Amino acid sequence: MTIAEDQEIAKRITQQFPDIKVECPLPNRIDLECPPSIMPTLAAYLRDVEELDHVTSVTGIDYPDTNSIRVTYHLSAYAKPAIRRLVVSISVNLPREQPTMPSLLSVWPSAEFHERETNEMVGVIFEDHPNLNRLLLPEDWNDPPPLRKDFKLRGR
Amino acid sequence: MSELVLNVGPQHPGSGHFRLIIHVDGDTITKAIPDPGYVHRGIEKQAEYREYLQNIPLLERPVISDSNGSVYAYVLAVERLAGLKVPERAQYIRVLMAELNRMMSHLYWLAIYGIFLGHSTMFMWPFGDREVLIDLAQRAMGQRLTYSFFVPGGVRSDLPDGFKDEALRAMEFLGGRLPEYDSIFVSNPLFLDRTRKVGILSREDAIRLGVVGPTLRGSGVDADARKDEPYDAYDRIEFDVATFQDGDCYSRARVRIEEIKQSMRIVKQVLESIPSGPFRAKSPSVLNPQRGNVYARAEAARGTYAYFLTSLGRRMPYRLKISSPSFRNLPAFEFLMKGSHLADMPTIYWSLDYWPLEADR
Repeated sequence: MTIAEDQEIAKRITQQFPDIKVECPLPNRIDLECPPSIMPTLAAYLRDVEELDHVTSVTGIDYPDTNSIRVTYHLSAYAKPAIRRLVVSISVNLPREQPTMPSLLSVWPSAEFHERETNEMVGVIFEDHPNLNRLLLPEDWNDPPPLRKDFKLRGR
Repeated sequence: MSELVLNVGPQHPGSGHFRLIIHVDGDTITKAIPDPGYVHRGIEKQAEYREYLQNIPLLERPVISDSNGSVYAYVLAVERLAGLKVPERAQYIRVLMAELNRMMSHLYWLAIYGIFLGHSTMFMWPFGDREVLIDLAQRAMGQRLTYSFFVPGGVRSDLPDGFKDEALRAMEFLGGRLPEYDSIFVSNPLFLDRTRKVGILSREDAIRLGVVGPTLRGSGVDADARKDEPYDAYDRIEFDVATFQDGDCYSRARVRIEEIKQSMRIVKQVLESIPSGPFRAKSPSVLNPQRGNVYARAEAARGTYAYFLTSLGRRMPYRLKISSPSFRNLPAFEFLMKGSHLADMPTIYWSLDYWPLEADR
């Protein structure tokens, strides 16, 4: 239950993947940042070795100023009680014109609906996702993805 | 036999607007596709256009049956980002109100489960008894369902005079009602027949699909944000995480009934041990939290409700991601309905306590 334990896990991850950015900003939180191409290997490692067995959310954030879209997966564990306190996030930065990244569905089936939502709301394309159809938006939605910053609410 | 496609909803009796596309072969479901989105209101987008305090009434709107539970994690997230310390009394009041809401939500679920299974008395009783809790909530928070009571730094007002006695009376009343529910419904042979060994979600599948709340705990996983990462006063209060092993509709029902009992236990403890002091930390009315990200979670009635809040140090959030339990339970529909009888569809449906507005946001 300590920050020291978090840092030990963070250290283990750094040893395995020297190129990724690892931070422990708050107790029980570990934030990772990596290039999209490493995602599947890192995800498989986190599932198999660190025993993070499910995805709790996938968030896409639009940053027009830096011309990037940041996608963050939040992971947690059910099977191993000792690490249920942890929430680990992996973030990737994608170019705004072509926000494409590998889907993590084959690693975590629980990512399915979260990736679909991020696809339609922020416009991120998850390669190899079997079903990127509309989920929450109307079937005939033609405007830009609504959670992009260039989609403005009227009257506000 | 040829396959038939059925549309269940989107005007579903009982829980709002949600469509299930069901393929049947005879009376066996071969495929079930959940189609949410009929009550999507763009809450995440709207939250980017409101100040931190203004967001509270907005964020509790999707889940009016459990409004405290649904904004709890948001308030925790803002506090962490703004560096607010919550006075001890406020922590206890929040726990008390969150548990009150959990009981109300579970009673609502029980009533609707009654009507889903054709038991009209079970529909009437919990709805009537829920009013006792609603009256109590109204006394303390000024509204029947949507309270906007939790604010960064504490709660909006202190407990009214005489609240302890009223609350204890309500708990005593509810405690007397639970055995009656049990004899008329939960131990009823018809209920057992319709829920046991129906819609079985194994422990492995529950973990793989990433389901939350009573749906998860009915499959034998004792995960609960109140224990896993205690917030506010939960680490100073004794309670058990209700867990049942069978993973069927009956297990999920038993989890919720047991959670009502545990909530009563928590409420009684809070009423006995609540410290005196301020109910809210001093904070500016317009919050300007520092730049940064924070992910906070809290256990609502339907499962872990989480917010991922990104601030650029402005008056309004830059991005607010909501991870709601009903949304996370969506994969269970597909999985549990496949292979079951069409007649079991309502049983499985409501055993997940799916709340469309919460999933759609």
